[in-house]
Amino acid sequence: MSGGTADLRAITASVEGDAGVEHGALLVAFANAVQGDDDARLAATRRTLRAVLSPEAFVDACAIVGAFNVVDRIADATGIPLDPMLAAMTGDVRQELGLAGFRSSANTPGA
Amino acid sequence: MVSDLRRRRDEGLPSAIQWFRTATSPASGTSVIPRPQVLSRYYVLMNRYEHDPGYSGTDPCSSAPWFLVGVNWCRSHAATLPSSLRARGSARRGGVDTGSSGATTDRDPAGGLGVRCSRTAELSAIDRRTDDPNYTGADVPIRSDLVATHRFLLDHIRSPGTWWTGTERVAIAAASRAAASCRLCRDRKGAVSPNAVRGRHDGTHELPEDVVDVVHRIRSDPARLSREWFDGVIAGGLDVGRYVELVGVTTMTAGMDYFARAIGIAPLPLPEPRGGEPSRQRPAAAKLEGAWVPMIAPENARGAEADLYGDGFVPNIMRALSLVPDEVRALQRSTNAHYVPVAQIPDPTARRALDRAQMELLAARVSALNECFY
Repeated sequence: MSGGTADLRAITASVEGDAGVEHGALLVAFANAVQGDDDARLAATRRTLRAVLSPEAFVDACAIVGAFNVVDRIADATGIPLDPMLAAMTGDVRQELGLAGFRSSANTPGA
Repeated sequence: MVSDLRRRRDEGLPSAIQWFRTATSPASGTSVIPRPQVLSRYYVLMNRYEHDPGYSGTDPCSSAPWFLVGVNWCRSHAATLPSSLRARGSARRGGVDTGSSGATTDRDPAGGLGVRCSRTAELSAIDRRTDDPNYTGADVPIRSDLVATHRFLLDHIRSPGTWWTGTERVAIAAASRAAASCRLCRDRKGAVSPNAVRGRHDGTHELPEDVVDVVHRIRSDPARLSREWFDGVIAGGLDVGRYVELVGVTTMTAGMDYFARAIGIAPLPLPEPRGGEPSRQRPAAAKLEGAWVPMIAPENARGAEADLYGDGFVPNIMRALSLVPDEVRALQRSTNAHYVPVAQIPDPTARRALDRAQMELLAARVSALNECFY
């Protein structure tokens, strides 16, 4: 979107770094901390993120975490397949990230 | 007028109705509004007060604010309204049947309203409006659309749904929250197979144990849900409609809990359940089309479900809960506020204070940690 290059392997933590996104490494660390069970680590990561993001952007980040904990569970609990159009658009990305290793890939024939 | 009406109601129902009838009749005095119409107007203005006299202000969910504007306008313009319009309005828009509703009656000895809820005290306790969410501890302001959405979701959870009562829905939400700290769930998640670990989920359960297990599995280990597991749940007696609604409540609760955890506050308190019966309306257009559960295809979203999807491409994630359409509506509301409005998702320039690339990186990382292929 910005015309830059992003290393999407940061999504699966195959590589570290910003993934070409401003504060990307910190956002990934924040996601790791929220999804984990180390409250001290979460508090520290939260403080660091708060220091670099505006209050509004921080709230957005928290909202995103909430949103995708909803839709991930809906997808996995209802067995919906990946839409054919989306599957066609994301084949390379999914292969590079090894997403076929996720159990829920079984819900999409040919994934 | 409302404060006057309440004062008169405290003095007695029959006189309040009589006063109200006179007060809302055309100022010209040439006609009196029929009793059924008076009663319907009284209901609009006073239903909240009847159930919760301690509540002040106009019921925000009622038509009262708009009605008062209309009443006052009609009174001052009665002479200019066509007589045929006045006659049709009275005949067709009154609408309160005080004799055949079948409601539990507690007739006023003086022959007043005639239909009065016999559960007023009980309803007052459980039918209060959903309070604003409690973000105590947050050191950042929560934007207003998120506050409104959280209040909506909490109200949605506490209200009777399509298949579960409000009490059951709150119990599902509580079970979803409890799963986050459940020892059995933790042990199962750490095991090679969740089926290898037996036991009972922590805490006291208001729901049947098998239902609690479904909630806990969806909340704590969604990545390892399988078709085989789902088939076993349905074969075990849980109707697929109830299952879909359970998925909606469980996941929405999870979303709010993760938001709270991320922000650094306690989970938003669950509200008291609201009374009433589920609607038990199953959409005829829902069909099995590749998912585990029936879904409504966009081209078949008509009638009561005509509002479910917008124009353009409708991804399966927005159809997944359509066997229970109200859960789709709740998901849309949730997504609009927590992510970007559903209609703007395909637009790469749609953003918030975070830019879109930051939003997508964060979203993708969360999904990768949840091992969600979709």
